[in-house]
This record gives sequence, structure tokens and C-alpha cells, in this order.
Amino acid sequence: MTNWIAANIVSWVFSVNRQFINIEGGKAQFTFVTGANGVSTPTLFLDKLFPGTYIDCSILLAVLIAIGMYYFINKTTIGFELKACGYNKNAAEYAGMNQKRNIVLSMVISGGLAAAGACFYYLNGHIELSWNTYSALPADGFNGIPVALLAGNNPIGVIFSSLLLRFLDKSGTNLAGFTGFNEYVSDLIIALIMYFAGFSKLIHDLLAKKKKTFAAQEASAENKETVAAGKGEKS
Amino acid sequence: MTFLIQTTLIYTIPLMIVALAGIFAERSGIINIALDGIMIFGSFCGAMLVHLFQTNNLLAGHSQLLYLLALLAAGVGGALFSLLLSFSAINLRADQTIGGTALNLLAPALTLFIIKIFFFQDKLVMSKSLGFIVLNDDLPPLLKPFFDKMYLSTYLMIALYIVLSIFLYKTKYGLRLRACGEHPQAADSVGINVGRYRYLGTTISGFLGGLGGYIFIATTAAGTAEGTVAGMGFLALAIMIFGNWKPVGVALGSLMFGLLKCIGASYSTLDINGDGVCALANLGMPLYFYNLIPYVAVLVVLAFTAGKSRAPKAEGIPYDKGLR
Repeated sequence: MTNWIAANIVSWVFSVNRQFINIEGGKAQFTFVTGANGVSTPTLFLDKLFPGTYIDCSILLAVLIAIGMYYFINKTTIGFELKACGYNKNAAEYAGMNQKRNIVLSMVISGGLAAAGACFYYLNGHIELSWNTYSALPADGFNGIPVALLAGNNPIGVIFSSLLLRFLDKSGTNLAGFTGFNEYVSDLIIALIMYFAGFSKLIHDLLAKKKKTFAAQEASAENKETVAAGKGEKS
Repeated sequence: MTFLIQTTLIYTIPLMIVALAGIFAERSGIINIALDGIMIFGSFCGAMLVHLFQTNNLLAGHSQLLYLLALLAAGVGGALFSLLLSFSAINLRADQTIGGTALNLLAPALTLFIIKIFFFQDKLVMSKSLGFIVLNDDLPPLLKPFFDKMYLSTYLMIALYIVLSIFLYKTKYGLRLRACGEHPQAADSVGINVGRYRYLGTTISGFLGGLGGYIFIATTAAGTAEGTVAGMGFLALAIMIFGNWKPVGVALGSLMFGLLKCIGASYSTLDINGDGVCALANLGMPLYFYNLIPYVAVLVVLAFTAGKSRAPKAEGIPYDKGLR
């Protein structure tokens, strides 16, 4: 619901404020890129490291935010409270945590991070925003969910899983341009990766079980040995 | 007025049937977040069947029969696709949200992949001259909104909705299915095969989801299968929560949403009392305002009723015999 409410409000605002819309070439469905009047995100030294790309300093900021979030969730009191409410809200309430405040807080943080992602993407200076969002939502919001799930809800893992998924996604678009494959192969691969990533718990459990039985066997073998060694002695 | 009732019914039917699909899955204890993907895959199967029949010139004069066959194909396609979810959720005890999200990604990728291979384009358009609409010109004005220019699927889906609601609440199988969603251990202790009932719930859900997807593309999206159903599946999930996981609530919710949505879509030409004055268009509000209304209305109603809503207790938790 809020998806479409936000989408309609964005379209409404842009339809009233027409000066943001790029009407060059008669297309009028995109806003001006931020590079048009030179307010794009600074590139620092990164454009010299990777010449010919659209890179800017937001990738550094994103990594910093991810590390900061890891610290926040795992090392601070509020982060612990958030996790506790997620695992068992009744127990958290019982332990004196304000459950409702924590839920609201987690949504606020999540909203802030999502907005930061949008800023990093659209303020880059080369990306056009299709302002008619009321008819079709940008897909990137939904694409965030698989990234988080693939990372196992670990902020550090998100750095690598987002790199992997974006790499596959972008290579798919280029695949269509240079080879005979069509661009949906990469989407197919991403979907299958996600589907099998769901089985990780099963494999984890199987491994744990095997380890357990192995340890038990070893322990029993050890017991036998000690018994065998101590056969002659009186204990 | 006639136009408004008809468009409302057309928009409401897929929403209602997909929300009912959500009920069947969640009442049996499986979170079916993959409804969007199931809709996409079902719509693709239906469109593919229609395309095959058209190119081979089969059933050329019997468009209603073709429509029925396409609905069946869509339902079976959706049911098969949902087996992927039930297999990972029931047999492998994977996280149901991850499985559902994966299927949501898989469905558009798979359909677009196949469409691109066979048709060298990004969408599969069914021929416009299908004639799925049932025409009854000579009717009294009171019956006209409900029986003239309607799709066969509208009546079928209403019948299916009633049958399945009775199945869920008045038969022993429905009771067992609901028990598996509330307390599977207790259900198992009296000899109910939890896995089998969860499979049943998810498969019915997949069948209905596929039907809903095909009805959506055949009636609302101009017969185009292009790997998207415009977020209908997620909307239906929201309507399901809005309806408190109950069929009656879902019907009311989707009817309200459909009505507001259709007012939003046709406000500029809407003439409710037939005096030639378009009252809403004269208000001077932009299109986006009317588009906002249905979502805001659902959100407001949810805010007032959410305290009473109750999800099935065991949904989303893989069944573990060892737990109490």
C-alpha cells in the first residue's frame, strides 16, 4: 500500500513542478540528471582508478554504512534490543524493553537506509529517474530483499551479496548486446541462486548432525580405548 | 453507473481469487509470498495455450471454450509452479520467505526467457479478436450491469469462491487444513498428515493464483503476457491481511478496493447519476489524487482494525515433529 502511495505522491510532485523534467527530445518521462547542473555526487579519486565508469564516492559511503550497521546491531544496546524483539517480542517485553518503540525504530532505520540507497543511485549524475512511478514501481526496492536474504541478514554479507547480484544483473544486459544469449539468462541464474540459498539451513543442519554423530562415534571409540587400556587395572 | 459496476467487477475478480489463494496457503501454515510469481507463471501458461491454439487454428469459432481451456492451463501451471514452494517449505524445511521471494524472481525471468526464445520479443500478445466477452443486449436495465458484456470467468470465479469457502469452513478437510495452520503438532497427534495438508493448501493456492493471473491479463492488461502483473500479487496479499484471513473479509476488501480503484481510473469520464455532469472531474484534483485514494483507504481501515486481526498461528514455521 505505502509503495503505491509513495509512487503517486512522487508523480504528483513532479507533475506540478515541471521544471525538473527533461523534455529534450520529446520524451518527457525522465527528470534531469543531477549532472546537468553539476550537483552530482563527488567522485573523489575513484574516477581515476576506474576510468570510463560512472563510479562515485557513494560506494565508499555504502560500505561504511554497512560496517556501521554491523557494529550497531551486534555491539550496541539498542541493536541488541532490536534483535531481541525480532526473536521473541514477548520475552523482550518481559525483560523490560519497549517493544513498540523498537519496532518503530527498526522501521525508521530501514526507511532511512532505503532512502540512502535511492540517493546513492539517482544522485550519481548519470542516472535518470522515470518520474511516472505511479504506473510502474522501480524494481530496485524489491531487489533489495533478495540481497538481504542471500546475505543471511548480515550487514557485512550484504556488501558482497549486493556486488554479486548486481554483477550478474549487469552482465546479463551486456550479454544480450554482444552474444547470442538473451538478457533474461542472468535473471534466471539469480532466481535459481536465491531458490537454492533457501536450502542452506537444511545443509547446515545435515552438517551439524553429521558432526554430532561423528563426535559421538569418536567419543565412544575413545571410551572403548580407555576401557581397553585400563583393563588390567582396578579402578 | 453500468460502466462503473462492470469495471469494478472485472478488476475485483482477480484480486479476490488471488487473495483467496493466499488464504488457502496461509491457513495451512505456508506463507505464500510467491503469489505474484505464481500469477505471472499462470498467466504465461494461459497465454501460451491460447497462442498455440490460435496459430494452429484450433477451436477458432469457440472462443468461450478456448477461454475455459486457457483458464485451466493457467491454473495447472500455477499449481505446478507452487509445488516448487511447497517442496522447499515442507520437504526441505527451507525459509518460506526466501523460497517465495526466489519464485517471485524466477517467474518473470523464466517467462521472459521462454517468450524471448520463441517470439524474439519481450511480450506475448494474444490476438485482440478473441471475443471472450459474453454479450446480452436485450436485458432489463437492472440486470444489464451484471450480465451484459461480462466475462465468463466472473461467474466462474464467484462460484469457485463460494465452493472453496464452504470447503474451508464446512468440510472436515477444510477443518484439518486450518488445524495444520494453527497447531500442526496437535493436528498430527490426532492422525492428520500435516505435510499432505500443507501440500493441498499450497497447491489450491497455486491453482487459484494461476487463474487470477490469467484473468488479470485477459481482462485488464489487454491480453499481454510480459512477465509482470503490475504488483497484483502483493496487493492481493495486503487484501488478505485486510480481510483478516477470512473469505468474507477478503471479498469485501477486494470489492472496496476495486471500486475505489475504478473510480480513480475513470474519474474524468465518470457520470454517476447520469445527468451529463462529470462531478469528480470538475473538482480539479489531479489524476494522482484519485489513484492515491484506494491505497490510503485500505491503510486507514487497516489502522483501525489491525488490533483485531489474527494471523494463523503456525504460519511460516516449518513443521517439526519434535516440538511441542
